[in-house]
Amino acid sequence: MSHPVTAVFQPATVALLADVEKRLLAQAASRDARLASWTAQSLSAGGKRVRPLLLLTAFEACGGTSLGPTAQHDAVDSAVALELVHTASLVHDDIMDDASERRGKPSIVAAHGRDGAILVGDYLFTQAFALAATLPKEAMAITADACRRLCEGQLREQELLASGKPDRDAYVAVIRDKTAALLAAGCAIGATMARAPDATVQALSRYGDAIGHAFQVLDDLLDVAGDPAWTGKPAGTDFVAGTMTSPYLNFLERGGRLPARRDPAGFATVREQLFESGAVAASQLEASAYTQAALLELAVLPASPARDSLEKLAELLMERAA
Amino acid sequence: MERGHVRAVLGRHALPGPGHAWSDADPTRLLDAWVLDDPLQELQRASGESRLRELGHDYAVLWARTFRTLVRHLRGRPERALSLFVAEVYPFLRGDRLAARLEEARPGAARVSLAGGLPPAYLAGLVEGFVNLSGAEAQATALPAPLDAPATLVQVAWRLRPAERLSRFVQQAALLRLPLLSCALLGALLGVALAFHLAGPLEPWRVAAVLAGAVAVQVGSNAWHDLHARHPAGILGAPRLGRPALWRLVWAGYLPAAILGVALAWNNVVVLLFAFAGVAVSVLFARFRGAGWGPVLAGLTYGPLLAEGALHAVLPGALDHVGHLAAVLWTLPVGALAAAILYLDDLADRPLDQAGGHRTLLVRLPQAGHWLGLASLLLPATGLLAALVALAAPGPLALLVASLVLVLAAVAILLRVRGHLDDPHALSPDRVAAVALHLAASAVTILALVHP
Repeated sequence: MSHPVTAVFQPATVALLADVEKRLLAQAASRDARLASWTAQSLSAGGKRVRPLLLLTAFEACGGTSLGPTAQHDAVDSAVALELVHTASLVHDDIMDDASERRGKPSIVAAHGRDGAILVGDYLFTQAFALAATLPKEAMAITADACRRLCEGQLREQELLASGKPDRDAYVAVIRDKTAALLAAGCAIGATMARAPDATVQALSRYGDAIGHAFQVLDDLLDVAGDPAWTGKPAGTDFVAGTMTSPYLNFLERGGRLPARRDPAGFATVREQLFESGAVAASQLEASAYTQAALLELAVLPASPARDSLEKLAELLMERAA
Repeated sequence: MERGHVRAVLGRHALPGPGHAWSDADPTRLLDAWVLDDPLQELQRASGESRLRELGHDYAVLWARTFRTLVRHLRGRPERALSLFVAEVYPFLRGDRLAARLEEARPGAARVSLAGGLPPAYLAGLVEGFVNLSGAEAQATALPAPLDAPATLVQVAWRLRPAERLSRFVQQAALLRLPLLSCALLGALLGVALAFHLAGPLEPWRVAAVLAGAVAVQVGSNAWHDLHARHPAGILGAPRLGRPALWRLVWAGYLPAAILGVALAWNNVVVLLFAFAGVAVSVLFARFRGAGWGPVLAGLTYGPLLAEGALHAVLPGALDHVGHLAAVLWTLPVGALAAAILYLDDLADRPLDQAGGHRTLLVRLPQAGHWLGLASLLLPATGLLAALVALAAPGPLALLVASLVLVLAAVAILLRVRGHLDDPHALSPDRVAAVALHLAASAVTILALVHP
């Protein structure tokens, strides 16, 4: 049975994923057997390929499929390039976080060491841009901009974590650059490849940005109220790490006080307080506002099954955590 | 005049397009209210009040698309929809926890005070829109106030359509946990059927008292459990009864049950032992569930314990050991299927149980064992029932066919569940199917026992 996220997309779009998968592995191949194996390992870690699906759906929603097979081929290639960038960013993320697992499997840094992981990330970035160079220059520019924002977001997140202080503006900026940038880029590239007007490209970029924010706020909520088997990480990790995410920011803004010592044993009590104070509800409403904004942006598109898919994706995000 | 703040998402919704302060702003950003108020006033001058009301309605519909589960719970409950708007939604939209207040409420009408700074017709439209999410037809009017008044008073009245009244009734009934009431009633009925199978016609008052007592204990214990369970607070959570209503239900359940228990045990003290065991289990159930014994205990209670207790209460005379063994055998399938209902509930609740530190059976079991656990309840239960119908009480062919269909139904549930064990939302239809399977299996068992 398909994953609920995959299920919202059109079967024809999901079918294109097989092509994306094949080309991902081909693009990540290397003459060095070890590097080829490690990059393949990083790409087969079990991702849902949301970014390629978004890109291809935006392409379809903007009438790209009527442009012929060459345009579709370019759209698939740009989806491959974007997914390579995403995977590379995860590999480097795990190095910086010293993460031992990624989606329930050993991370590349844990399996092949720091040097190996740096090389895998670098190689994937390089191959992504090698592919993007063969595409229309707009796709290259959007992909490069997303990469810049990823780096800036990562740096800002580290500063935020080091300061340990609640800062809503910084929290929103980190999400915009770290989580939403690639989703927005996927939507914008899909629209660009379909030769959509600039206003439509911008609207779809804002759609991607909004669902990126909604997704991250809900992810932060699930860290308070979610199932570790579902989220892939133990509940309360943000609390223990001292990360000031949406529920904690709302709690502090409501006059709540977090314990100085952030040990896992104290999380159950804090969790109750987050619910009692209305901080969790406020985060749900924040995620809802982003989802509403995402839905509003889709008004620029004509009615089509692809537009329905984009609407359903936004609604599904809320359905699964509200 | 200070007009407060509004979230940018409201502006994006009401007046989309570039050129406004909210066009590129983060939708959760708080902007000065005049940024939205001024263009709305212009729109009102150009298109009339009704356009502003429509905008308010449309915003509620957009909001509802992002809270579909919650909105399903609002059907038939306009007062709850209004409370939600006043307690959570409007304060969020204005960035002020005191932005809304319920001034007065009576059946079918209310008056709310909303932080001003936005056109009254727009606020009235928002109130109407949110009350309409319940399926009611609302009519809101902004009461006249001085221009510089800090708040706008909105009077709202609503009428509930008959279909929504039914929806309200169904939701209230659901709060009584109908599946558990049905488990209790069917468990007791099974004991009565066993007694009839062994001894023929029974005293009608005893039968009635046993059935009423079982349901009453269940009503009391459901309420007791809800009183002591720790629910996440907040109006965005699942609906539940208030404490006074729960205390009334505790008394309304346990008191009649106690009177009926004494009457039934007058000449048969063994009945009291079963009654005490039943009440003890119901009161302590939460603790047992937390220790990982929930489904097992539910299976024993709604199967052997309840049926044996009912059997003792209505059977004239004693039962030998062989008779007891046979009786217990008949109660096992129904008990195991009741356990499956609780098992699926625990599976769906697992995320919150785990996050809340509750070590239920499903939290303790490794993920690989979740499906096997369910299979070990459903397949032996339906298989044993089919064997008992075929061998122990052969009757009409239709009953045998029905018992075999139950085996297939159990297989169908298992196949469906396997695809989404980790998705609480997707498990909802399976939970309903498990209740239906328990109901059907109980009916087949009882018919097999009482057929001539």
